[in-house]
Amino acid sequence: MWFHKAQARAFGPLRSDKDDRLEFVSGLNVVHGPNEAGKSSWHAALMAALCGRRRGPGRTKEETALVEQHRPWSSGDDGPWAVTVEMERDTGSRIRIDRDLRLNETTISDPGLGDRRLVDLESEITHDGSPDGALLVGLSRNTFAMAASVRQASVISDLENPDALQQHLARAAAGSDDATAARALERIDSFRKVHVGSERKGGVRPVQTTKEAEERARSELATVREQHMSYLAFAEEADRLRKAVTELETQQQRIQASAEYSRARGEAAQLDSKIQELESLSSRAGGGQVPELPDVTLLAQAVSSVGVLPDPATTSLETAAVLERRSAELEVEIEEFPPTPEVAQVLQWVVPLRRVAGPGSASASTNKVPHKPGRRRLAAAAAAVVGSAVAVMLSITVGVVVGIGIGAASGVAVFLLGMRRRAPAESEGVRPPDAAEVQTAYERLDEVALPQDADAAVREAAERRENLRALQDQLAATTRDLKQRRNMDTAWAGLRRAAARHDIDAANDDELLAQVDGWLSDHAAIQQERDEAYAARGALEEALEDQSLDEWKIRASEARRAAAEAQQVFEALGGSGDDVGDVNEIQRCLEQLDKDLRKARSDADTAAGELKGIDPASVDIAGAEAELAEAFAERERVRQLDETLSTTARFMQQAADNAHRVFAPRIEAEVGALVSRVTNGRYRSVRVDPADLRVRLVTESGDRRDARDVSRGTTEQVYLALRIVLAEVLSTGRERCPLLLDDPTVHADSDRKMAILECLLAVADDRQVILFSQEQQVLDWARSRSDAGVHLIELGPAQPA
Amino acid sequence: MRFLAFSDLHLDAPFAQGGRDLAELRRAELRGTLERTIGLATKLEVDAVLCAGDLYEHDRFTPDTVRLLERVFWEVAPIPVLISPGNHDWYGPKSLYRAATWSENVHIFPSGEMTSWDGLEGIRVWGFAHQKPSGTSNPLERFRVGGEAVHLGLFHGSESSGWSRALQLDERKQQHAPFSAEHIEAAGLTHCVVGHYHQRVEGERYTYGGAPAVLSFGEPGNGGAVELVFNETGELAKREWHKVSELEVHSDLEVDVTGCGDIGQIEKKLAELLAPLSGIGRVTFVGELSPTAHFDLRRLAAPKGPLEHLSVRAGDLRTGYDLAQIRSESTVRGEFVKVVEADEELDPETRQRVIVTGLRALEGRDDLEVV
Repeated sequence: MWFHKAQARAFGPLRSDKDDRLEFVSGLNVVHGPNEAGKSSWHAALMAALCGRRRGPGRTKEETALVEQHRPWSSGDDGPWAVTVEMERDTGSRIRIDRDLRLNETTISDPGLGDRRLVDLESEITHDGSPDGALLVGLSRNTFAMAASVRQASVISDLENPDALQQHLARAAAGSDDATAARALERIDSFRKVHVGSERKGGVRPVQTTKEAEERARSELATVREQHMSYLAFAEEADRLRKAVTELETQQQRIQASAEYSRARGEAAQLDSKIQELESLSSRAGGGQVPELPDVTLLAQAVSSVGVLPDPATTSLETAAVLERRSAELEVEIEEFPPTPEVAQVLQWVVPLRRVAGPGSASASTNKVPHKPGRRRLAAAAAAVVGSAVAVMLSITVGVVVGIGIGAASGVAVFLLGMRRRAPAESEGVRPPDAAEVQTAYERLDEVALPQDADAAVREAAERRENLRALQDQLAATTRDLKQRRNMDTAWAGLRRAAARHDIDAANDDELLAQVDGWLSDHAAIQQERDEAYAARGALEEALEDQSLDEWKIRASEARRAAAEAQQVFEALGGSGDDVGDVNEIQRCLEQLDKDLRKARSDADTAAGELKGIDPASVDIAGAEAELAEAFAERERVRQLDETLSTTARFMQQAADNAHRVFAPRIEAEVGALVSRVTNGRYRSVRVDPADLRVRLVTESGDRRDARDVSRGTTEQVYLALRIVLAEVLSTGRERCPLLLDDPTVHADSDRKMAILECLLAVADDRQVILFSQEQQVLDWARSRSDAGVHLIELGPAQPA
Repeated sequence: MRFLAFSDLHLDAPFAQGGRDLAELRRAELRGTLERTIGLATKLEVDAVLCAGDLYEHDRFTPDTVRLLERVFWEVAPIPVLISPGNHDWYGPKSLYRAATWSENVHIFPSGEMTSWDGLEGIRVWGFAHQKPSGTSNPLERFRVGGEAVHLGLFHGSESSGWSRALQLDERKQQHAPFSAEHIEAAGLTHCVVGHYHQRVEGERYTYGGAPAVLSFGEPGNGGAVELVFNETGELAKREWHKVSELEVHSDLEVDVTGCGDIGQIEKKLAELLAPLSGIGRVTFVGELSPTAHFDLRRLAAPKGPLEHLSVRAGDLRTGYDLAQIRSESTVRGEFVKVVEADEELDPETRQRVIVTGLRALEGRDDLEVV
């Protein structure tokens, strides 16, 4: 493919009021002109026309440079700014590329078909939003500029650098006009060092700082979680304590309710009992007046008096008259009873008589009884026998008492007699009585009409004595009976009088007594009833305690209601009637509960206070999680960046190795031949190290010389050869690639210049070469070689816009 | 009978992905949303407030949250507040529900089985508590009620049969206490107020109020507090959603970077997009990214404009490089693209990042951190 025609409007210094046109041939074209004739502008215009500008947003450095350097000098911001080229393709067809640089719009048309727009082709070669004609030769606008277009400025700068060849190759291999693969790798590494760094304790690079930040955040989260767990446990404990308080309060309420229920129930029961008692008392007290009862004291006394007396109907007592008479008779008899000296007296009296009688007397025989120790007892026994016998006899005849009395007296007499008989024996040796004494004795006996015989007198005296006593006893008994009889009679008389006062009358005493008893019994019943009523009334009044029964009933009713309410409260708190315990037990429970409750409240309050005192920030898990997420994301970003950069570097190195392995042999082959030609065989080939694309020249003798160590002229020639070859190497071989050279020989000496020009002429056999030059020698050469097909285009001096 | 129902407030949710500032902002908004919900209950003079779970997040709740809930529910007294704990606020020994001191108008269903609350004449509300964070079974499986009263259900669970729309909207959503609409009818419940799905669902026999405040970018954001009115026979006479969140959440903001040659142009586009907005937003950058543009997400997230928080992410963002052309080059550049693309172990995102990084390095650029 080659440039056939070119047209530019207002491209830099080129005129805006007319179209500047150039026409080329497919071989070597020399565009000559003095400085400022617009050669570089045309060079750029051809590039711009063929490759265009990317249509994407933003500008690359090249684009910026293009805009800055070649914006219209004359037409301002609104005028035309356009370039057009007509290219002839290797197939022989032509295409025209029109570019409005201001609008960055491109159309491609076929001048052979009436400028029909080639939309498909536009689409096919659109690159970065704009058709790129370089794609037709297998390059892009980037690689075309690097491989097929040599600007004077770049040649100059490149040749200042000893490594220019190597770097250019590397740039070409990289496909970038700005960086080589090695530079790209360096850049990645530098970037990684700054923006990732390495993990090292105390390091300040992101990989370390983000790691530490994440660890801090993770640790913080763990701490906060731990504190949160503690908080939850604490809250649970506080809740437990609060519930314990509530439970205790409920229990307390229940027990209090129990106590209240118990009290109310007791009070109600007490009042109910009171009401019953009051009603009973009221009933017993009677509603009306109790009638007055007669005084029955006398009657009762009369009955009482007769009660202790024998029944007149059945009593053995004689009547009072009989008894009075008998009493009188007995008094007379007693009054007339003979003298009754004491037996002992009589015994004293008869002592002389007994001395007279001597031992031959009956009495003496008694006296002669030897003194023995058991004599007194014998006497006593004899007396007892005599007494008993007398008593028995008298009992039979007179009565038990009298009999006993007489018996006793007889016994005593016998005893005394026995003793008397003992006395002489005891006083044996006492003088015999004198007559006077005997006489006296007799007189005395006579005086009391006792027999003269001592024993008989004694016996008589004893009998007499007994008889008198019997009479006296009879008189006493009669007197007693009489008294009793009189009492009885008096009592019955009193009873009758008393009964008569109560209108009780009877035919006889028994009936009277029966009536009186009945009457008194009735009266007693009535009296008792009345007394009970009175007692009940008193008790009622006392029990009423200055209140009425109705008032008590109201109180009882209220107490029952209060008890029912207390029961409801109690049962509502979970108690049942059966739970009501002993009051003392309840009280004890309440006291214990009160203690427990105070402690529980204290604990709960403390827990609640401490719970409230917990700093919310210290348990802010969500906040700590957010912080960790942020730290994690940042670390992840750095990690991802690290991975991306590492991966990129790895692939970059691999790509460079691959490219260089392919690139180097082709360069060697293509450049070698060209270098040999332009150096007239001084160097027969070149070697390119695939590792770093270092170029070495191989001399005729086979020596290898580093391209950095040869002369500048040789370097220029090698460089030019390299540029010529690069276009071929980098292009994918679809079509032949034209070469655009801007003063490439400006630093070459005359001989080398000629060699280069000849070389270019040779290259132009295969592809179009457009050489821009201001050198006279080049002009001359071009003119001289017109017959060889060199097409000379001479530009005039620049015209002011 | 008028109720105000809500669920899935998720107080103390972490919001970990947006940074601490956003998290604090969002959590404050949740608290404000609760206050506005309760304020609305007072304004509407409802008979009860119903909360179908996930009121807060058990793993993260703070003493502040306890005090907030105590106060807010106390303020609405005597209006009853009924709560059926969900899988995030499950009822356990260390539950906030036990730690708090509730006013008398608050009733929490603590049992794992359905229990009733009959504080309103003619209506009985049945609820149950999740007692573990996962694995709660269908609460309606063997539950049956009858009688004259109108029976309402209040719980946290996943309707998983009839509509499935919510599931389709968020397939990642784990199921808890799964039930079907048929279970509601079989149980004898007139209607169920349910929580779990964060978008509103208007079922014939159930209502998901949805999250009253958007919890993450991408949620539908159509949840809120639902006013439900039932007539005497239990028929749903009114169902109206009320917006109780004040924070505008813009999840679907998009900036097409195609045509932007540098980050300044992208920032300009972004600023124009954000200018009329308020609240928080998430911007997704899409389009063809110019190779010349230094695309820095952190820089783009910084100027949030009128928003309180801006989250940015790269969406379908294509590099501006003509990889086909570059690939055809017989250069290191072309070779680089080819070897990267040939590596099958690289995931697409990494491959894209590596290519762009490498090409930028070959261009001599310094912006080698590629989003």
